[in-house]
Amino acid sequence: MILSIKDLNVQFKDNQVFDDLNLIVNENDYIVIRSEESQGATSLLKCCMGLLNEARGEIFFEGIDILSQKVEFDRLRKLIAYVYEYNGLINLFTVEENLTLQLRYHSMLKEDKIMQHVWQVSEDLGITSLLQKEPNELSPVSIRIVNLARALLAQPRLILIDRLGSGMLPRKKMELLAVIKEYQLKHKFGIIMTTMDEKPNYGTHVYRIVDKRLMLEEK
Amino acid sequence: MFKLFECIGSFFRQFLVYFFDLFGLIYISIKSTTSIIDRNKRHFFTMMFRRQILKTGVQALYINGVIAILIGAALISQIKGLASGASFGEVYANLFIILVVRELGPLISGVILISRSAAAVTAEIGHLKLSGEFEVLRGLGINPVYLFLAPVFYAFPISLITMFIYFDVVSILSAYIMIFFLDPSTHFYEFILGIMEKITLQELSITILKGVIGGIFIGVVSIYFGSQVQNRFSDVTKAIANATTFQLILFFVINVGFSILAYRS
Repeated sequence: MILSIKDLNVQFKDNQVFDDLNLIVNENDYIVIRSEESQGATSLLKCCMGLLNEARGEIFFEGIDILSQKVEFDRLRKLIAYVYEYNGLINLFTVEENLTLQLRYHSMLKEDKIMQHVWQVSEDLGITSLLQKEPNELSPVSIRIVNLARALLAQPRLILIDRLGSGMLPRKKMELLAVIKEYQLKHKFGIIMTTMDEKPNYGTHVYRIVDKRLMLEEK
Repeated sequence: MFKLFECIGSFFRQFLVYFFDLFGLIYISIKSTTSIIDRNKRHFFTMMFRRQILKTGVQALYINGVIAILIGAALISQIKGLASGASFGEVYANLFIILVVRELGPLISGVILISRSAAAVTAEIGHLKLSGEFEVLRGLGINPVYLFLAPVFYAFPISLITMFIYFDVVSILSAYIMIFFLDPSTHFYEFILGIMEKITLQELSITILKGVIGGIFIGVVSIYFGSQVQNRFSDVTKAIANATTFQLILFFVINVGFSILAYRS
């Protein structure tokens, strides 16, 4: 087990989003969470990252209490990566700089090794032509792919992916899902992906947000 | 009456909070200097540092130059009447040291830095906060203050001292051109020598101190107010207004304070 969520409650003023939500993620699990707009799928991912102050309950990631105030965030960030649905890039930097930012801060890799990794992942995701561009020159779909590239580069233990396929051509989406699967087999990490797809044909487990909790669906 | 005390108390409390926060940021900046030693982290420090130097120290030089030319010319036109018996050069050398080197140079350069570059930094940091980029950085395990603060902390004092020197040089040259038209017998070499003789080590030290301390505080205040932006666009404009007001007060207090302490005799 790499992640366990127990009795998670999230409330924004009068709006209760989760009521005693539970989830367990094991290594190599590919969890797909089906939700509609405003059902709190993004909030759930942010809770797993420790980015939501409104979260109450227990979230443990490999023994680290994510909701604790004393959690070592620097250590946690190397283990969990987040793929944002919107934005997620630093506008002051180019795509290449955005991709190398985390590696430069948290790894001892040499410059040529960092660039080698960046090129490899960029090629796999088909974004090498975007490397010298700035985030404001990219479409929302391209920004999301760059976000995914950054997450794959970090080689974390868990990747949280927020609605990767929104506004994407079906063929492109299937290509990306295949790359994600390939990387997961190679580097062995867990995935939690939110989607608005009616019948997702990917993932090891598919859940749906019903009555502020997660309900397992039969594939 | 009680309300008045409450207002005064709240003002001082807020002022103390600002000061403790600012000193906290200065401490973080010094601590983050280790990131310059780390080869990987140095890449982003160098990139941001160069960017700040270019924006604050280089791109602001033209406006600094224009004002220096006007000040140099204005000074000569004002002292024309005072130069009875003595040469323009002699009178100007005395006035130049008191007015330009000690007071006008640092003050005008500081005001240009605050209104042009510091306001831009506050807006930039505010926008990053507003667009959720601080959260992104936190998600990557990078302290946003760490990333943006250190380059500003080092670039602003360097830029301010560069602006002081540039201001002094340009204003001397523009003054000489004016003098040359009014009294062609004044030699450039003698004119420069007259000024150089008046500049003491104390003048230089105080000017550099004003630049270093003023620059550090201007930069740190920009980052501080920029990072206070919440989730409304009006927070950015409020941050710029508050930062500019605080920077102007602080910079004038630093300048006047140093001048009174150093030149009171």
